[in-house]
Amino acid sequence: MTDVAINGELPLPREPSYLGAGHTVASWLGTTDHKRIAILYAATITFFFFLGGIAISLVRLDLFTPAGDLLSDDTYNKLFTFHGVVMVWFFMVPSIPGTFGNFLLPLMIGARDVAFPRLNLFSWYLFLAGGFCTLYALIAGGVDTGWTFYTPFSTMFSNTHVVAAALGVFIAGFSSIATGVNFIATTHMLRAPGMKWFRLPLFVWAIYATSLVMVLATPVLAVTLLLVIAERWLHLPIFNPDFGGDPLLFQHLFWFYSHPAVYIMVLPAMGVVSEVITCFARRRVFGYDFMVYAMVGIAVIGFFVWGHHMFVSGQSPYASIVFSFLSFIVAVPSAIKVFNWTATLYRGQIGFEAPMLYALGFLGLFTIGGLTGLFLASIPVDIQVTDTYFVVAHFHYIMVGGTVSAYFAGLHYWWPKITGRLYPDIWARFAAILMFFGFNFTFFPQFIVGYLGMPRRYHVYPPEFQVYNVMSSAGAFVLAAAYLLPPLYLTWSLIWGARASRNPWNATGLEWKTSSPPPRENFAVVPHVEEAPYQYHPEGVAPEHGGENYRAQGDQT
Amino acid sequence: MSAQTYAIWRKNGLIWLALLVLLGLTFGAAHIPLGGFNVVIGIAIAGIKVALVVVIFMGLGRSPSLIRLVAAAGVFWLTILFVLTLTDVVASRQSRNAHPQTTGEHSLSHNR
Amino acid sequence: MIARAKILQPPWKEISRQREGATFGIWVFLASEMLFFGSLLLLYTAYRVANPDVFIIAGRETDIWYGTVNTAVLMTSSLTMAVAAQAAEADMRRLTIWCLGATVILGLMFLVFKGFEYAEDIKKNLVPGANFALKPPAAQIFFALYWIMTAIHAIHLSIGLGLVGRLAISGALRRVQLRENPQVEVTALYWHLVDVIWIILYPLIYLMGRS
Repeated sequence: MTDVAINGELPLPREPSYLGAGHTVASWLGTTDHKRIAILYAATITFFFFLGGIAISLVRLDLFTPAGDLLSDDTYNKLFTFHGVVMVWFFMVPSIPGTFGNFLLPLMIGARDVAFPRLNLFSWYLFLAGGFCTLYALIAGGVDTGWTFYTPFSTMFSNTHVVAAALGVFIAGFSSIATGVNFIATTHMLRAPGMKWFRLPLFVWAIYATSLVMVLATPVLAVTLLLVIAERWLHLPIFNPDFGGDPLLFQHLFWFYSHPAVYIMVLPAMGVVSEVITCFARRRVFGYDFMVYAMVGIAVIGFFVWGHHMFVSGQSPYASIVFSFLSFIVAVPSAIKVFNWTATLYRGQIGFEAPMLYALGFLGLFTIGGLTGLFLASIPVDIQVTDTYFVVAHFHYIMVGGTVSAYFAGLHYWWPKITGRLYPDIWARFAAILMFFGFNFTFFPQFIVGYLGMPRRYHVYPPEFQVYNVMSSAGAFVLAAAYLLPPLYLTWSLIWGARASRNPWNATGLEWKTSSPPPRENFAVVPHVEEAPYQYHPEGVAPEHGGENYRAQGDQT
Repeated sequence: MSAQTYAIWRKNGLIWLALLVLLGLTFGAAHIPLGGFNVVIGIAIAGIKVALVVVIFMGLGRSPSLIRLVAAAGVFWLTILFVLTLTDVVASRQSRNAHPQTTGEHSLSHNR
Repeated sequence: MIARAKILQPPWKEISRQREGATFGIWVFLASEMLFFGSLLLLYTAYRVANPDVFIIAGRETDIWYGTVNTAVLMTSSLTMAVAAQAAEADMRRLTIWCLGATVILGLMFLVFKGFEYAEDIKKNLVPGANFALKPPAAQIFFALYWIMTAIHAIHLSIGLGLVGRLAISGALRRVQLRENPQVEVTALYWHLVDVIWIILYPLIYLMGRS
């Protein structure tokens, strides 16, 4: 293959697309093609997303009334635990890295595949095995410890299938580590000629930063869960106070992973948002270098703040102050990113297609979630609202309002590239707007009722909180309806949707230089990169001023 | 034995001998009553052995700087885990010793 | 050459680059292992800081001879593994395979000795539970950590034996070339990690309270 300069169009590949290269089940289950593995992940996480959603729908149904009349207390506990475990480890953590990271990382850097394709497939099988183990725990009767598995309840007193659930998550953790190793090696070693580090799209940086966190944090979770299993199953005392064990040490180890885990969940989302906002505002990103430093900074500083989950657990006041201060610091790079996205929109030519609606939703909802995180970082405020719905609302604003919105943004943005089809944008916009309203109706009342004192994880509540709970539950069903729309119209598009050209959005980025969908080898010739990313307009001349002198949005063909 | 074979065995064998000597040293030192210093010596000698294996056997001494950065990153993050957690452990003990509280004598297992 | 072609895997275009990539990848994994075992060491440290005297009492009950011999065995296996890796690089096939085999044998020796040691520990009632031999409660935590850390190490060692053995066999049967093979470097580094972990565990488990 000869190198071809990227300024000209790359020749279209002549091979069949990756979707057509092999039609047997074996060709899918034994594939080493990163794009097919991405689809395997997409199918699996979608399945888990709906399972976790069903669980919490039952919870919200019960919460329409103050009394626990729909579900018993045990069942209630098992349902919210299942919701947490499935959503955190079997949807949020693998969602964007497993699907878009897998599909796009090699494409965006101009490579043929990831560094270790067979390890990539093995990652998916590990994920599947972990999922089966956790599903077994559900079917066998569930777990009632909450997704946080706090000791000594999980190790000594719970009568549910803790070991199976912990084992499932343990196995899935190795999927995370393997994926992280793969992505880090890919980014270091397989960039196309000319693709220097500071020419990488921000999504690649986001996946890289995420991978660092996955590799360094997940092993600690693995050990923590192993210790819970050892204590519960083999009766080896580790966290048992009767023997001098300290349950707080469990929390230190658990949160050392679980706080960086939330950055595993949000960093890829930030990467998606950077891609979508630049494309649909037709603008270069504002402050590329600081966007990079911010993401790496979030990944690093995110490891220093875990004690803010333990302010009321008996952590020493000295450590609490240190963690509180560092938690304020970690907000700074996130804020820088929000400012830079906003500045990217400024003087753009903004289009409101579905991906952009989701990305704009992300901006607002992530900001609210982030600001409420600052409230929680303040020790006195946290003592008031810890373990109330205020915390629940905070993290759902970031994880659902943030990451899930970004997931849908990416899904719609890259759908033509992945499937070669165009979806009906009217339905997509409608779903995005419905989702935004449903989301806010569900979670905004939770800020209020949490501040007023309603505890989380309780299956009953005082009657004066009912109005907020009714609003929240009603919102949840609107949200659920909004989630059901994309599977419908996206599936429709697979069969009846118009075929997509190689670059329907007229976006920059190497992935748009090859056919939609790409062939197995990704590119017909090795791309040679000569320019910085996001060249939507000449430097210093924003679209608003430049008249026709910018890269206009293509017609969707 | 060819010259090349001899060279490989010699280079690695010397490190192995050093490791055995250090093992003997640490074994011996453990039997000398030095109070709290015993732990320090034990860990220090282990550190030297680890350094020998990592730098020579694992080749970190002649690896590209990227690889050394990876190893350093692992050590750095481990340090974070240790320092911040032990800060809490030590500070908790100090505040517990400074403000002893009367707690119930109930063992947790009585509640089962 | 058939054997050579099997080493090169897409998306890599040159074996040397693939080797660099594999070495880089395994070091990244090793960094994750530092945090994996580091968590256990943190727990040990925290509990030792909280119970210094009990840990010394408990530490006396481990068998220093098994521990020391096993340390020597594992360090020797690191020697043979290092020689194997360097011999492979120098295209000295016979020496490579012999040393890989020696590594496997030494690793198996470790497991056998460990098995005997475990049997003795069980006989001495050093398994935490109702019949535990020592009175102080925190001693059970020391031994809980002992069993868990050594068992996890043994599992890692067994995985290592699988990797080394597989390499030795496919090399001996000439199914794959050993020179320039990324798998050799990867296996060697993993095996040395198993040794490093044990070097760190040795003083913490076996050298407490001996004076």
